[in-house]
Amino acid sequence: MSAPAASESQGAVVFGKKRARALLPGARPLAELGATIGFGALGMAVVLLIWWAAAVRLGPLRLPDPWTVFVAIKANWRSIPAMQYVAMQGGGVGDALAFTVVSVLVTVAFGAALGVLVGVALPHVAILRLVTTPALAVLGSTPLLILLPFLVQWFGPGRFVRSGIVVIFTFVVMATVCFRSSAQAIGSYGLYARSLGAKPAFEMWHVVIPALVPDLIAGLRVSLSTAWGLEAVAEIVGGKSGIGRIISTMAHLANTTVILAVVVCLCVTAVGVDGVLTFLVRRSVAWRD
Amino acid sequence: MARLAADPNRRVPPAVEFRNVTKRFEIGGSGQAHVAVDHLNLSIQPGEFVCVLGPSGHGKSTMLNMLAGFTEPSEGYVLHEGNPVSGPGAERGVVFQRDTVFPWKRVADNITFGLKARGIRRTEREKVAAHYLKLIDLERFARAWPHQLSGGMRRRVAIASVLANRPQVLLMDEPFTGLDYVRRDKLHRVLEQLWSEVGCTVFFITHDVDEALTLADRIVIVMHGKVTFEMRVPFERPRSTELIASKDAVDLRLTLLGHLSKALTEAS
Repeated sequence: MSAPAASESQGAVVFGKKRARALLPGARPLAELGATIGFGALGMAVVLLIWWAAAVRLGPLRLPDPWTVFVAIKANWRSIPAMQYVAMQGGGVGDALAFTVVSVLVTVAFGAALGVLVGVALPHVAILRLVTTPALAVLGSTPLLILLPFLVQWFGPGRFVRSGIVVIFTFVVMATVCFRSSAQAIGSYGLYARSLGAKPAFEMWHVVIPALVPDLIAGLRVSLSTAWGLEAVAEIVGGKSGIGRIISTMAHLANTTVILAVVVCLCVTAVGVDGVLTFLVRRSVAWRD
Repeated sequence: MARLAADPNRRVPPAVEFRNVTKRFEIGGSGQAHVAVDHLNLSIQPGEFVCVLGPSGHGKSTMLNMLAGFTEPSEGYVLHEGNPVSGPGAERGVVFQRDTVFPWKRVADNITFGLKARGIRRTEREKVAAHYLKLIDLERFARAWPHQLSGGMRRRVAIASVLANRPQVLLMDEPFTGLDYVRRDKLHRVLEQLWSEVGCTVFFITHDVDEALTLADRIVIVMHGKVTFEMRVPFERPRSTELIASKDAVDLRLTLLGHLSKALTEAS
């Protein structure tokens, strides 16, 4: 048996080098990160393999293989000749992706800000609660995408309708999440905070807001994951720019390769943004076990 | 161990007084009311440690909630130093039965939450946090998150958080329920130590007769919303396990248990 642990912070007795490495500061998170990346890469490799097999089975016209799509992304990144010719529109996959990403982030941010304000206010303002709760229930159950063609017909294919869908969806999600979370925080900790002398504003800032941060970020992730699809579909139906516009134009030209190329770019971006959000979650809720 | 003694010869207003207090709760829209507290009268002197014993559902927690300002009496008055209680306040600190330590605040920040709420400066707050962390033997865990602590450690933090605010009255609703005997005994010592330093009045609800004998200056039995029995505990502090097992303590325990059983039997 080897010697006891050198310092109290290392805890248990050390047995051999493996255990010593595991107990070094930072070793465990690095190992976990390595495992996460490794297994993630393995998972992606399996997806690509299945895609390749399906592409071989279905043929290049119906389903291009991953390499063809990757080449198409590179070739069309700065400009898409077909878009210039058919839609008389410049720019490539990169520009369209940037447009869609900015649209989604701005509209989600706006919808989230409204939703958080309303959601946090609901437990405190009875009239607002009576007025808003039924509307939230209806909007939350309504499949907004089905309304899209009607909204485009009534209000035109402009920014208002495209952004409005994402804003409404995000608002409903965030308001519902924040309402439930802040009501729970008030129920669990409100009386205790007040018995320590906290006034309402102090209670809001030091109890309610921190308590709802995990649920708020979870709500943001849900909102974003759906917002990508909502924005893309809205662009398909009535947009003049963005990923959806490329998809609708390339669909008319039966150019499956470019369609898949922009979809893959959108997916990768969505995963990347979710990854950033996950990182922020871990940093901001270090207090959770 | 220094503490404020309740001198029966000195005329001081009670720290806490229930004056003919009744509390009714409507039962689910039926129009019928459940009387949780029934014309209850009770006075607690400044610095006194009172344990309230009684079966579940007989009004003890309702008394605490009224004293904390979480609910109002249907009739009568709940007074703190002669003034009616109206709403929660820092002068009546509450240690709840459930875990109320803020998970998103580090241990030291939990302890100084009340001080920060009252606008106490950071340097002063840090001194108070250091002092109480030393008293509860958690100095090394000042920057720890609550989820990193055991249940007993979180209980210590909860008690220190309330007492760091220097309340005039400390309300405790079965704060040690669910803890094992060893942890509970340790927490009794911590509570007594903190209480002797702060010198506040204590209203402590418990089901445990031995716990009441260990901690209380006076034991009050509440049944069916009324005070049915009161008894002073004549032992000096600190009260060891041997003292609580002594013949005198056993006699007191039998008296209390006898009263509880008799009252329950008569009621049924």
